Amino acid sequence: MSTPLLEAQGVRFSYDGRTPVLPGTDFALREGDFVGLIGPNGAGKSTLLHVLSGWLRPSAGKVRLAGRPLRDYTARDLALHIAVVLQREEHTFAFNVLDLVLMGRFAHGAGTLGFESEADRGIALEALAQVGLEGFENRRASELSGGEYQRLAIARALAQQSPILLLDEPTASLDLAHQRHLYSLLDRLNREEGRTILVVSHDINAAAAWCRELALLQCGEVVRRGGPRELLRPEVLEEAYGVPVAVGELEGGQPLVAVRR
Amino acid sequence: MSSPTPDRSQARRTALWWALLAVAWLLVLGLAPLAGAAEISLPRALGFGVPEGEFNPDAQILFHSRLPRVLFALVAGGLLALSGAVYQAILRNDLADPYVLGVSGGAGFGALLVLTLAPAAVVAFLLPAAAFAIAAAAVLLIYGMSRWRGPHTPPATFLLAGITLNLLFGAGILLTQYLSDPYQTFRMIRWLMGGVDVGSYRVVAFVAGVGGAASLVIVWRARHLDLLSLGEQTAHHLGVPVASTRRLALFGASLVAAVVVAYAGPIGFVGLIVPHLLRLVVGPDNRVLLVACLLGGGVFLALCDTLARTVLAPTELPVGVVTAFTGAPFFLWLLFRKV
Repeated sequence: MSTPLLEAQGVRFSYDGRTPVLPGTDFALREGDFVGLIGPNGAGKSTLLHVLSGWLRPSAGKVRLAGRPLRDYTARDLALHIAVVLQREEHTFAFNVLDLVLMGRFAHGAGTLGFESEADRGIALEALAQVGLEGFENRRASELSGGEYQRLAIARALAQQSPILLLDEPTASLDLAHQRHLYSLLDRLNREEGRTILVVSHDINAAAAWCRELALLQCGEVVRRGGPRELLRPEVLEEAYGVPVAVGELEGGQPLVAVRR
Repeated sequence: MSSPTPDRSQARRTALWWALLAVAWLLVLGLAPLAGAAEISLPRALGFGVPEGEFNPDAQILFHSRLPRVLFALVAGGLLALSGAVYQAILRNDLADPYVLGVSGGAGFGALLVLTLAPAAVVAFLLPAAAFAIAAAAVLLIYGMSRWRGPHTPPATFLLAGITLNLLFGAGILLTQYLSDPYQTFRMIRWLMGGVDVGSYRVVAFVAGVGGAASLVIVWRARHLDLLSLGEQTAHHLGVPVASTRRLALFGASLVAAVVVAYAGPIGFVGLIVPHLLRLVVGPDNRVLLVACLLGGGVFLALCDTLARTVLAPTELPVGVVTAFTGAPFFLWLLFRKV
């Protein structure tokens, strides 16, 4: 067994200092993992992602990246290792799409003094093409739909060229075609480039269709982790979500979860 | 499909805007001192046709009254616009201006305390010092409280804290005026209206030196500010050291604003509208915008001051009134225009 690439050990975190969202959580990503993190509202999925990404500091426990404590990394070093796609971001000023994707090159030292190079632009344009936003580069971000902006954020994360991708509900505002497009892109990045990917998602079926593994978070603890078919059993989901659930299977073995009326 | 702008054209476009603004800056510096209540002749002011050793009133007016004033307006306006642009980026709010964290209220209260309490002989020296000190204290207080609250204070909290402090100082200002005699009150009101008639090259050099150094540090991190305008967390994930960048930008912009206000009083609207106007022209990229603000803000304030000196000559209007009368309608247009 290789050592984990990104690892949380006994991590405690609380927003108000009293009720812990993460009560002492263990979670690890090994190189090449493609994990879907599922669980009910308030289970701590996004919080765990924020702790793993270095944004939130746990009050106890350790987070390590390649064996080194996360807090030993500068923001720039972290960005070179981990790219994060958040559910929301703000846009105060009218940057255009290419500007925003070029910001993904910041950690590589591009554009801090002077403008980005042709090479950086090439990387940004390729990232835009990968998420199906070619031709959008001169559009203003404020003109984009929610789904287009989400794809823009993903393109920027791709432009970071970091080996780890953490995505918080990346398909939340994507239509079916773009959901499939995004997951097949993640699948290819994982398969062909060996990138390590964690997706937080409420869409169990989409996560199950593409992720190699699912991890089920409940009250801040990873209660189960495994291949989609072994994890998605009715009794497991009924216990976690508290609703009657049926699990079927498509041809080829892709599991399909439905909530009973 | 539009083709992406190649790298070199972006640099060329930037150089063109900066050059245009620099030419405007130099034109204002050359021409604005010639306008004013008293007619002066440039050749005479430069000594042509004036016998050696004879008193030369034209030169006196040009070099000792108008030129330092225009120069100060060019410097102060640029610094206020830069400060406003930085606040708008880190607080992610279009309404942010250099005074938003209590700098104007603090400086005003400090100035009025000196006008009330200090003996006349030391007012000239003590007033800018006190205005600066209390303005800086206001910013430090807000920053300190944000640290006490936790690492991720939302920008709106900074804004509301600044508004609160400005209101508090405003009450202090009213109270000071209420307790003062009418002559003092007039001087206070005049100071609170703002003015760029600093009357000495030494003040110009000092403000330009301090403001310029702080500006340089900020302009160096222009790209950090671009990323910070997407929110602290996004900026962090893209590699920006958020806490240190925000601290540096906050203190840098406040230092710049406080040193200007200490000498010029709270001149409104320059730091609010110039960044917005220039963003429409050069775009939101702070690598282009901040330098454009340094030049364009100076041009705007110096033009307003020229208007203030000439419209009702020989009566002078307070420059703050002119910036408000020109700036307010423009800002309203900006807010309500069809996008």
